[in-house]
Amino acid sequence: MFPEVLPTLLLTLPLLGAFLALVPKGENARVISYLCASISAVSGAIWSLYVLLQGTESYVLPLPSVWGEYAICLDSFGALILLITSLIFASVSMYSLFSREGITARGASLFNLFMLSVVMAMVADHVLLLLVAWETMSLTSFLGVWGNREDKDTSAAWKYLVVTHFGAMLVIASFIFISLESGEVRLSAISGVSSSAGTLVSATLIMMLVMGFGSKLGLLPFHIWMPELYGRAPSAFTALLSSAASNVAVLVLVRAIFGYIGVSDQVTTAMIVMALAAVTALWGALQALVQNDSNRVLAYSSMENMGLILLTLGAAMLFQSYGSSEAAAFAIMAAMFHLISHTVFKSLLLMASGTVRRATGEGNIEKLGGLARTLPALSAVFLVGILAVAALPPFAGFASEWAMFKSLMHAEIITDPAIQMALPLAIATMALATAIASVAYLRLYGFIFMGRPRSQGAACPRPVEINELFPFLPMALLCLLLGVMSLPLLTQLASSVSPLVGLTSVDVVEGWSINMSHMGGLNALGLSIVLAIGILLTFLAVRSLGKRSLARGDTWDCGTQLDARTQYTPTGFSQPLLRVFNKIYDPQTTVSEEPRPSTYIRSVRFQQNLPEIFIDNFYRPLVSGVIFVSTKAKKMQNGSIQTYLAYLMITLIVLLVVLR
Amino acid sequence: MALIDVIITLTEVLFLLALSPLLSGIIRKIKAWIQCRKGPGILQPYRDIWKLLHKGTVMSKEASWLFLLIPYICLGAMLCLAVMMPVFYTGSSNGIGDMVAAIYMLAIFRFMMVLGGLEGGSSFGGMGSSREMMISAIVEPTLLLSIFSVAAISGTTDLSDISRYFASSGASVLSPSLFLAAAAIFISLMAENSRVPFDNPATHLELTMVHEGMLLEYSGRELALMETASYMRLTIFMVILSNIFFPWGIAMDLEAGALVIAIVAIVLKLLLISVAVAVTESLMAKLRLFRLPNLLTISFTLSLLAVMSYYIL
Repeated sequence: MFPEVLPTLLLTLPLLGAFLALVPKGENARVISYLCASISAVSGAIWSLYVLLQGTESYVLPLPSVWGEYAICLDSFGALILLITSLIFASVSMYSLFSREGITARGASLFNLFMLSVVMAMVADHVLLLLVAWETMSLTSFLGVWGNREDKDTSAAWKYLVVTHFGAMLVIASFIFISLESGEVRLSAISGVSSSAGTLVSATLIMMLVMGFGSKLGLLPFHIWMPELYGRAPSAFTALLSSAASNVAVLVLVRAIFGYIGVSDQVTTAMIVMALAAVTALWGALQALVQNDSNRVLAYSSMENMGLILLTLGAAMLFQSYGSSEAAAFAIMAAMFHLISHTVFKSLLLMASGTVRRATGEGNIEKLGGLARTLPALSAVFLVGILAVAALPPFAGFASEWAMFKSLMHAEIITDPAIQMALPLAIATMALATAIASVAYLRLYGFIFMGRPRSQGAACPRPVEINELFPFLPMALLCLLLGVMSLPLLTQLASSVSPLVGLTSVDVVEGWSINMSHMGGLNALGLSIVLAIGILLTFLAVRSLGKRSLARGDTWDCGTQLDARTQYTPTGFSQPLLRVFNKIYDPQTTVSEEPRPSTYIRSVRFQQNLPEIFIDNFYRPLVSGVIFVSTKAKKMQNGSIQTYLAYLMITLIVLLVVLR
Repeated sequence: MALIDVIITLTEVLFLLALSPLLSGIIRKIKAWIQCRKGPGILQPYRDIWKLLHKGTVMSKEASWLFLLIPYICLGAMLCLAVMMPVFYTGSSNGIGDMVAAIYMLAIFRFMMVLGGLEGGSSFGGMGSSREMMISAIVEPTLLLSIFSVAAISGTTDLSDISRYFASSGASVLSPSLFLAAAAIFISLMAENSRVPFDNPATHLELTMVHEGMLLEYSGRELALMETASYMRLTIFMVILSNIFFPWGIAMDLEAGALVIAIVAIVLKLLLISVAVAVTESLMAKLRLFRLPNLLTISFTLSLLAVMSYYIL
């Protein structure tokens, strides 16, 4: 009796919340609406824990059945992702309540519907249910980012809608094909379609799914909506898009590739996926480095992280093709671990960045600075998020990146020397992308929180109240816990993931993957303790020297007066790396001399434009090509009724000839 | 973990902590000799640290709460790294001595030091930080790849196990990829520790400095901690080079004789690398900042070749 309450609450409360937000007037209704979402999220988390302990649960929804029964099913793999997603939903709804951001009837209602669609996509056990949930998720997030804005520039939201529907087209087509090929509508009953469909067809299906779900993840070249949308949309929705929506996309993608389709003999497909993912990761990292809007940095960072996850999943496909299910399971496990870490730190950072925006009225890091002195608590949680995303021990990102690096170090499985090279190259790409991205994260923290404030808003920010910080605490704690306690989580992930590649969980846990006796393991807990002891001992040793005097003085200024304009700027900070990767960025720099303010001072204007290569070289030609073709096609429509009758005639004749 | 392991590990950490200022002193002395100067005594770094530890601190008005924490985190990370390193005994590390973790432990130091450089809001700090990040963005993947090539040869990523593998299998495992990786590590050592082609540790001319620029706002005991951490980082790089790549002499069993040999061996190897560093520094001029990426890319390519050649050859 008890467990049935949980999915019921999980799926009905958001509906109630969406309804309550719209129908009665007044702020209380919206507060209740967010509370509905929170309670639903909490019951989702409890249900996931229950499933993790008790095993797969499955229910039939009381809906009129048209095409089979509409069932939902939660296995332990989905439960792990649902658990973390529920926690994020609870945090974000608390954040929305306390920060008073998006407290509109529309926002609250869309939040609930978005949450329902995300949860439904994760637990759906019917093709139609999954596809409807996926589409609802796209639409509600589109409305969520479109409706809540003050300015009327809606191009970012429209880009999102177009790209996401191109993806949806691929997803829908491939799922219908999978369903028809297997003759099943229940997803849990489909497995290994590739054995009947053949290698080429399944390769096409895999590529379609990677592209389709990749459109949500920012896979190249579908990433163009991300930076613009993140830069403009309300931070609650961006946090959800980068965490919850990505979780659904990766979860369903992994289930589809390794479960429904099944990977056998897909070396070329795996290589294409890996190459695409590697370029995505590098591109995301390089772009994150030069953005000046805090949310755009985080958008490109999502792109980078999703690239790394897809790279690892590509490696899993490679291992599976060479018959090592253990290595494949390990790689999937590492990718899912990184997905979970990413969910936590990225939503923390996006929400904290939203708080910075509201406190200062500025999102441009060129105009910020010095906030660590005025908002120390906010800077501390932000720093935790930054350390986690920059993969520094002992935080979450480190543990998951460690696992991903480890998963790529199994080149000996691959017998073909030419393809073996893919793995060292993947490691090199991953290392380069993470190293560049960590510069971007450091720049983000350093120029928001350190130095002198560069604008009025940054100089006297609105104080951040204690309840606004409350939603950050569980996530900051999770950032630390996921890193320190990574071994139990990896153990759980391994047993959840292994059925996907046809292993019993015992194989992976008892075998080399978890103990990692194969390549040497990581004792994250021990490492964290040693690090803490190291810091503590240093502190105690220095303290034993006795008290010292601590004076506050001016920064060393060489005798000149320092002000906000004499500091390094974020643009200047990334110049050396920009020059190193000059060929890739291709910056257009103009330096022009302005009229001299006085005889002794020269005034120079520096302007740098970084071209958007993918928009200029891919989308613009595409759009103008489409417009060219449709202009030509328009000539057919000349408005005269005789012409249309002639068209009818010709069509009829052609049909008669063809279908006779 | 047995008590004896703990004792040995602690001895190793104290050994590195105690020895690292001396190595920097020796490098300075050798450089002074080559330049026909007398130079300060090799114990000068100890005197500097001691003096700084007993001085008061002046902290910038612009600095935040993190500023005073950074030196403790940096030195703490280096102490933790010293625990991870096999110095004279390749005992079990119980999963602590993982090579990827070791590289990320170096990243903590760098990340924190660069943040410290941004604290004061001065252009020197920003300049040093910005340049350091350019160097590190290429050095970090180089380090990972070159240690990965060693891991691929030995079949493990545990530093102690790698060391044990090479020490026990002798000259038969010497392969081109090992030397390529060692060369890449040596270039990374010079880059990460602000040595001459990359940075001049002796300079205080603002426009040429990287490392000193970031430390400009530190004074008193905080500066002492940062300097100690930097000395330790140099020593740990030398330990990586000597005990991961060429670990001959390291003790594989807990016997008094083997341990004595191991201590003598590591001291000799560290001295040898110090001489190599000093000579390299004296023979080269500091490169222009935007020539550095060429050298760094060479080391990155070397490390990539190291991995590739392991699989091809």
